[in-house]
Amino acid sequence: MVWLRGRSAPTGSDRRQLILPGLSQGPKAATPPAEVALQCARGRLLLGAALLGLGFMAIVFRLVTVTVGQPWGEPASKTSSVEARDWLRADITDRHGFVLATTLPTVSLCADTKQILTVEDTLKGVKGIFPDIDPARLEKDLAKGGRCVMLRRHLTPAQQKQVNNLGLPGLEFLHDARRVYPTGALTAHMTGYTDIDGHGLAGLERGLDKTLTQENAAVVTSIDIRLQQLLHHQLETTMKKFRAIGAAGAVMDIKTGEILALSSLPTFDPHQPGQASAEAKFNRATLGVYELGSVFKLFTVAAALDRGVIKPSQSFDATKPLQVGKYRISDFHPENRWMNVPETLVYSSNIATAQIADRLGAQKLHSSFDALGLLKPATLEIPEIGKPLVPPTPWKNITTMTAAYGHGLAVSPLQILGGLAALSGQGQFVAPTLLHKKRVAAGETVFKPETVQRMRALMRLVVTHGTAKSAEAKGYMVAGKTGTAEKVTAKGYDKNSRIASFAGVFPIHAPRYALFVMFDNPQGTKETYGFATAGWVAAPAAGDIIARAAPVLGLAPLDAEDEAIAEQILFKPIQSLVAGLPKDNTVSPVHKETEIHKETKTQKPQDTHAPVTTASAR
Amino acid sequence: MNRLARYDQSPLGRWWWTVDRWTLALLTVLIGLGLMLVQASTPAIAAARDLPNYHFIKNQLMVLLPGLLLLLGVSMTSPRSIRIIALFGFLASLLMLIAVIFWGQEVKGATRWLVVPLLGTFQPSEVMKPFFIVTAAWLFARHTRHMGFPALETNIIFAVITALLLLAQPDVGMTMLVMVVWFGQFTLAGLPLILLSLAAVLGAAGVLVAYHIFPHVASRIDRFIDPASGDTYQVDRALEAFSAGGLWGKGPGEGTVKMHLPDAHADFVFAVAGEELGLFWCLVIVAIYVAIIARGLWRLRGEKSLFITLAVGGLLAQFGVQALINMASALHLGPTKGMTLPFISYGGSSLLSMCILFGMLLGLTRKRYDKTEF
Repeated sequence: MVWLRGRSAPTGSDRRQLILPGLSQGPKAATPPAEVALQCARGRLLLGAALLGLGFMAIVFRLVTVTVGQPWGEPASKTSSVEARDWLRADITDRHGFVLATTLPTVSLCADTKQILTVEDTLKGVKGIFPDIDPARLEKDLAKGGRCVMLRRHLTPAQQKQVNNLGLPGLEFLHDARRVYPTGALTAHMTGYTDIDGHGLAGLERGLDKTLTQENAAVVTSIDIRLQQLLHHQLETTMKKFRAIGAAGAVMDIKTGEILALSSLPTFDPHQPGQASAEAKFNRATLGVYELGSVFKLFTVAAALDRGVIKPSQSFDATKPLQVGKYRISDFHPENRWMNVPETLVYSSNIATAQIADRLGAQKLHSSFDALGLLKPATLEIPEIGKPLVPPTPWKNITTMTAAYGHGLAVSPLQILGGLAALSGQGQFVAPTLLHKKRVAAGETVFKPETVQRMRALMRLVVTHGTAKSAEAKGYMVAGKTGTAEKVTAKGYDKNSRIASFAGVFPIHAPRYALFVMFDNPQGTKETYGFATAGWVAAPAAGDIIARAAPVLGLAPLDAEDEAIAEQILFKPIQSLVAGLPKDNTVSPVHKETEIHKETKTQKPQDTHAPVTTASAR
Repeated sequence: MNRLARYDQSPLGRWWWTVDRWTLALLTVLIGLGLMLVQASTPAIAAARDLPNYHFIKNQLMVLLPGLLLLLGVSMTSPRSIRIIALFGFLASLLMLIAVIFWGQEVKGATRWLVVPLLGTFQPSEVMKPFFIVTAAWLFARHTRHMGFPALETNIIFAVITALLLLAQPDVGMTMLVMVVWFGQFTLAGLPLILLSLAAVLGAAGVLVAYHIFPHVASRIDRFIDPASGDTYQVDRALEAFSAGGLWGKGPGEGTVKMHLPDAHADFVFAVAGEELGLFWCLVIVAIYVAIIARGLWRLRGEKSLFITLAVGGLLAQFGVQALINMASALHLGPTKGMTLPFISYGGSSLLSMCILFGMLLGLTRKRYDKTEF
């Protein structure tokens, strides 16, 4: 400190020296004190100037960053208003770029109460253009005052012009934007919707909220809008015909896991989610979990074959209902004979399937179901994912035996698709996705190639010889399994209330697409002789969908000769067993829809061994 | 054009050849930009307040013309006269500050304005600043030479009275600014750095106290630290304005931020500059401030008078710090603070104050051939 030099030996009497340098006037001072003070001031002045300089440098740096962005990186946002920035929400498109959700700039009308002439005139003018507004409420809002009292969101250009023509002062337009779904209700369960300020509330809008707001590129989904349309239409038609309360369906590419179409009916208008019922907004395809019945026999048989517990030719005693403790398992329309594995599936025998599961054992069945993704929630890019209802482990004997044919276990339709892919594709579990992927998804291997070969043949047999005959789409080699399950009500299983479903794969000689359709509580019609089982409801719907979807997917139909050859190749591993099956109408849906589960009348399932499952879980 | 020859010995001729013509030129550019920005930013505000279109620019010019005359007049007087003007100006300002407490006009919760018949409203605290700086410089410098007069005590008493009067309004920001400059001068005059640190600690404590006493201070600081805690409308709009302006701006008068900012013509005039003139001219404005300060320091290089060094240092600090704080709050580098951007913001008192400031600065930095010490 310079000033100290000018201060010679401070004394008690010269206290001021301690404070200011110029005071030191002692005779011993080498430099005149005024000079010392000046030097001190100069030095410190430079220091102060340097500090100010730093301040100005900070200003310059900040100026550059806020005006033209950070010099080292990202450019500054090009948008000029807060609203527009908040609304920078990317489009959602189908796999071919068809827009499913987009953001349109709009204007909103607000009033500056400091500038409006009178509340009455303003209200009168606005009411003339928007007859549906509530003047009492607006009057209250305007009375409160404010620089921007919102009068109306999202004006059309015509309405904006009308407001301008009013020539009223104090009416101002705000830049706004709204989310528009060109495909509306058709894709509402996938796109979901946003709130009025553009925050994702459901579906992809919610699940991919971050991506949609942070990245500028459109989100390309796996959906093919053409397939979506025909799936939706067919589900709707069948649903009406059988007076079902709901339906769900999905088509998946089993190589990539891409969901090509996914529908849940009834559906809703995503522009006005507030007016839709909870029922309509409920996604049955992904969020609903249902006991799906015989479809599960495919998984049980595959697990048993894969682990070598049974051979296809092995026969099981289905001559009489199976008594397990106090429970009795019976077939819907009993054949009352021994059945081998193909017959078990073709006749959909609960008794035989239960015995197969018994041989396999609880643990192995559980681990196979788990590997097929049937026991844990599916993963998908939307938040509406249902948690399957699974009986607590360890599974008892009876639990294992009923789970084997899809009873006492509720899963979502989405989970079935993942399992079907493992069953018929490469033996690997394929996680479904709603995003368009070029890469083939590699999942965990569940089944050996040999098992997959056998399962393809068995699934095809169900369509050619069994309950799913009407699922056939000529030339497209459909394979699959029907399932009819009684719905669980508060009083136990309701014999007159069903879930009818079909799970299939096509074309089975070169498996590529998995399909699942499901109808909630269909009612029989005169045409179906009062039947509302899957063979009557779900299988024909699936057949119609495949017949129209295949050309869209670029599949060429096989002619009769090629089909015969393909079938021969397919059936080769179980040749001798197929020969024993009568090819004609032996198993007509009317008589042989041998579906689900018969408990003894006195014992309701949820009393003891099965979890309380509701078919349409809310 | 050389009407004034080197040998011209008239007062005007002597003034012209001794005054810092660089600073004069820089001030001219700054004032020109300021007028343009005031005219650009005020019609929207005039419309909002039901005032005629040219209300604000007329007011500004009404102050600017006498202000410039005052500037030139003061700059022509000698340093000796300047400090006498300053002392009386300061004492008069103190009286007016006291008057404000009793007869002031309250605007937005603060009583800062005196209503002067015919002339309109007037903010004594603005005008007080340059007078106080020069008076303080005089007392600090006098202290080194005159044992008999209790200069330091007087100085401290003046400072305390000023601070209390400003806090009474309340005007926390102005108090801080005045105190920072005063302590700066004190430091130049040799305040031991240990005492300066103590003052800084006390200052920080003062801010904390202000934070708890004055709700508007608390809210401004909260909003700066955590923008989510309250309405950051003004700052958000200001930042958008800079972003919208880009490198070259939208052109004078073309901006929209002034439609949204009630203080576009005063506290946030820099945002209007950013939007309409663009980064380049904002940098020019910053460069002009820096150049004026640098020029002032340069003129001090051979100065033998401690008084002049302290006074000019203080005036430059006042000018620089005020500009910095205004720009920093418009750029969200600091909490929003009602402080004007010298010569650019709209505001008569502020403009008048700056004219007095630069009148004295130019007068004190004129070349003197008599090396009399002051």
